[in-house]
Amino acid sequence: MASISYKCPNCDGELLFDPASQQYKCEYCISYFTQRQLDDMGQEQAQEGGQSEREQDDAVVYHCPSCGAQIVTDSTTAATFCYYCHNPVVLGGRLEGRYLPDLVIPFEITKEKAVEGFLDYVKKKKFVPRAFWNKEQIESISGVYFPYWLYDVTYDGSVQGEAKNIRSWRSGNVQYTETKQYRILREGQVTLKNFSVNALKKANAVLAQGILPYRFETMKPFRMGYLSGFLAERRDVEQEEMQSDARNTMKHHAKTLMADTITGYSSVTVQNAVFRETDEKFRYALFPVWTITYKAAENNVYYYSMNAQTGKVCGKLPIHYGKVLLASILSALAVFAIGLAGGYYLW
Amino acid sequence: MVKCRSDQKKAAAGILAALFLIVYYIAPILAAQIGTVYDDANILTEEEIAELDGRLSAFMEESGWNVFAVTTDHTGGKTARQYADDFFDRHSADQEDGAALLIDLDNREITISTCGAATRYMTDQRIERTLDQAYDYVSDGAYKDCFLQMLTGLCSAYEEGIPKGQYNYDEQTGEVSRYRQITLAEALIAGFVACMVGVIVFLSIIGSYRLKFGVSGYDAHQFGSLRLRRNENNLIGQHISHHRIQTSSGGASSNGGGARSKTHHSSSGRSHGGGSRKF
Repeated sequence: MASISYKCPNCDGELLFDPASQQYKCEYCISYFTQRQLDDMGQEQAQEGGQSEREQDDAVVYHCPSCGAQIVTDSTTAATFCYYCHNPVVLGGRLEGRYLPDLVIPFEITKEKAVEGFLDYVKKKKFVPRAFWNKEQIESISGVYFPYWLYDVTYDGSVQGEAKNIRSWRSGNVQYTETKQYRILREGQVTLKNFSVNALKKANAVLAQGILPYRFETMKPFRMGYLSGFLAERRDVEQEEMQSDARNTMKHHAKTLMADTITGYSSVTVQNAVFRETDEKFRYALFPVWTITYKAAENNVYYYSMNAQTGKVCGKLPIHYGKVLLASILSALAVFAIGLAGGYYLW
Repeated sequence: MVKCRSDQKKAAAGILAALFLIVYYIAPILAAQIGTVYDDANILTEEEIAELDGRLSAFMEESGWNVFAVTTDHTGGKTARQYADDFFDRHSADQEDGAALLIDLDNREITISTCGAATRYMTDQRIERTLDQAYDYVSDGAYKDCFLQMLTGLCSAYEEGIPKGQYNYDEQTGEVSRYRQITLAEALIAGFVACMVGVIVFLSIIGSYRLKFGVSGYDAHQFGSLRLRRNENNLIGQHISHHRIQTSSGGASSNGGGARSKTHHSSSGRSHGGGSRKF
């Protein structure tokens, strides 16, 4: 498997994907290149490093195409940085063949905006220990492409049920209640698109699920260049492992979508729902995430992640339990005082 | 010499004043008083006075109130209520809480005059209940038993405690003074709710710092589309039921004064409660 880095045709500097301009940028001569230009440059511009020397368990060793240093990665890493020259390295071989993604959503939020968003998020959280905010921590924020499965499905189905309309009125001292019963039938075609399932088993994969959804209309056909300047993970969840759950979940959504058209009744009971897949498609995609991993003193690992397209955040933050306890006790005391005052003055 | 005579005159005036006080205030009291019973009308036997005194003293010790059983056949033109109020004020100048139970043969009236905390306990309803029970005895001439009934009413009220929502209503000014208290039940409920709030606050803060697992976040309405071939709503049944609405006739009238203690002011200005009944 080869490691790739993209070189500027003007100065031979490293090309990185720039989220702000959605183009490739040379950090040295400040040149910008579109995806088409990069495609035209072709493989001859992409410098290839050596083959992997050793693949043992999860650790794999590559040679950096820029400085020749050894790069050690785990088996799902698809893009990284050289530890010595800090140049971006795309491990192209990791995303070939059946691991070649169909689609990608490029980064749209820059690192600066991600840091800003992180600070806003943490500042709102009053019970985070101060140490969590330190500069080093914030600078360790990384842009990572996480792997997802996308599931599109079309169903032919029907929903049958019973609905009631109850009307009540009063005449003199007699109360009348009219109940009308209806038999309901809905039949037709339901199409559901872009159901995203995380395709990484790693512990911090939960981060990838918490920041869904993405704006899928901006998805692009996959190009290796988008990974330049970011980290990337290759999937380790195969279609066979997730398809059964995905199908069940989508069938439930299809039923809900069709049943939601039964409106204007006091009560609705769905008695029978049948859905049959007439078309389905699984696609493999990489979506962008800004993430910080934080190891606390007690060896607990905390996470923060941001959808690098929509800015939605998700995290598991360290908690200052003393502060939380104090806030709880103060709340309880305030309620107790209000309760006693109520008992004294009102009741 | 002149000075000496003047001193003697002053001393004589002092003695006279003292004698006057003794005659006017103390002598009538001493005439038939044992402890808390003042039988100015001489209608109780010594045994009855002793028994009443024992019962009154026991209750006074328990409640910390001053309670007097008084009889009179000459109120000096005062109403029974005025007489009872003034009697209590005179004999319990340093203690506000208590009551004077009066059998007034002059006005042929029995009276309970309450003061301080006793007014809170002896609401109008309880005064009426007590007078109802005492009335039967006084009209039969059973004066000791009449006092015992009044005392029993007082004891019951003390044991029952101040009723919820009690208020003093000043007949003269219309002023209302509510009795405010926190019952044990209220304190326990407030404590329980406070603990629950504390726990909820704790858990919700911790929860907001955790990831939410198991939420797919998939919005079928946003990412799905629907094309209906059949959309049928067929009426298959209809029925109408009816029932007569029960209306309450008359409506419950307020018993007026369940928690109220009417008060008035005695000649000394003290606030008194209580009530009286002619026999």
